[in-house]
Amino acid sequence: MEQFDPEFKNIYDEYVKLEKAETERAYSEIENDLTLKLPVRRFRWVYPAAAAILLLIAGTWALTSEQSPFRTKQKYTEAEIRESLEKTIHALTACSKTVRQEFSRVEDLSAMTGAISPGKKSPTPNSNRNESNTTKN
Amino acid sequence: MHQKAFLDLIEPLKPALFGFAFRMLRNREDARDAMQELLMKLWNNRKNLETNEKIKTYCFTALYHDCIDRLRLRNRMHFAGSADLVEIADNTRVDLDCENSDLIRQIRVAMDELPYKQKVIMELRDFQGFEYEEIARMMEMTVNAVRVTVARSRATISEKMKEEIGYGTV
Repeated sequence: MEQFDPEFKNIYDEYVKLEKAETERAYSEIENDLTLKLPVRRFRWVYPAAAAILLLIAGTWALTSEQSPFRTKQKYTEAEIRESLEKTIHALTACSKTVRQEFSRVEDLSAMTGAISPGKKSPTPNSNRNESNTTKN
Repeated sequence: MHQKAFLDLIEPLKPALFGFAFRMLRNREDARDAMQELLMKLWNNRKNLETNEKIKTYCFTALYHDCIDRLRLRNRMHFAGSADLVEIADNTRVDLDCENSDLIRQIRVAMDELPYKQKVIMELRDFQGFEYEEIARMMEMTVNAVRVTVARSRATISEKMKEEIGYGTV
């Protein structure tokens, strides 16, 4: 294999040393730029813990506060229940009145037009036939 | 792998890796960018590093490929020419006040004029102290091919020196 002669080898080694020195100098100038900037991991539990605490507080509020729309355990007083029931009854009464009124209007309309009222059973062709038979008889 | 373990593993290699990138790219900023990219790549692959016993070879191989990409990007497959070297000399080159300064300058020029692959192999062998087998693995060559390349590079340098000053091979 090709080898340098000893004298030249010394010079070549010197060249290698100088190149290395030069590189070291360049490296020392940019060394600070070559720091791997990774996120600080020392307090990595802080964010999940804070999130968990906040979630706990929000959850407790949502399930217990009177202002919360997500409250599950509602404690009503007797007066509240009565009031609520009365409101419901009123609403139902009003509703039934309206229905009754509408129903009578439809009956009136059908009487006027000679149509069959929705409450009565419509006469079938057979029933008419039976009626005619009985008259014949 | 934890951050500290990672840094303990990589920190000692950084100067050598930078030296490699610096001499390959002949540009401090490019070498710094290549190093930063390498560090990020290593950090992202840190799970593999735990099992990678030959971490030094792995780092140099990754850096070598990155440098190739950068050189391709520069659209030149040879090292910087003399104009670039002058530019580097202003900033980083050590003053050659030694006895053999002329000779060393000649060697520097001869080295810079070597073909790309020869230069890399010489760098890995003479500057980084890798064994032929390791270089062969890194460069995806046979050991014999590496030996031949080293011999050829030395012959080229010797030839040039012989022409210039009269030094040469045995």
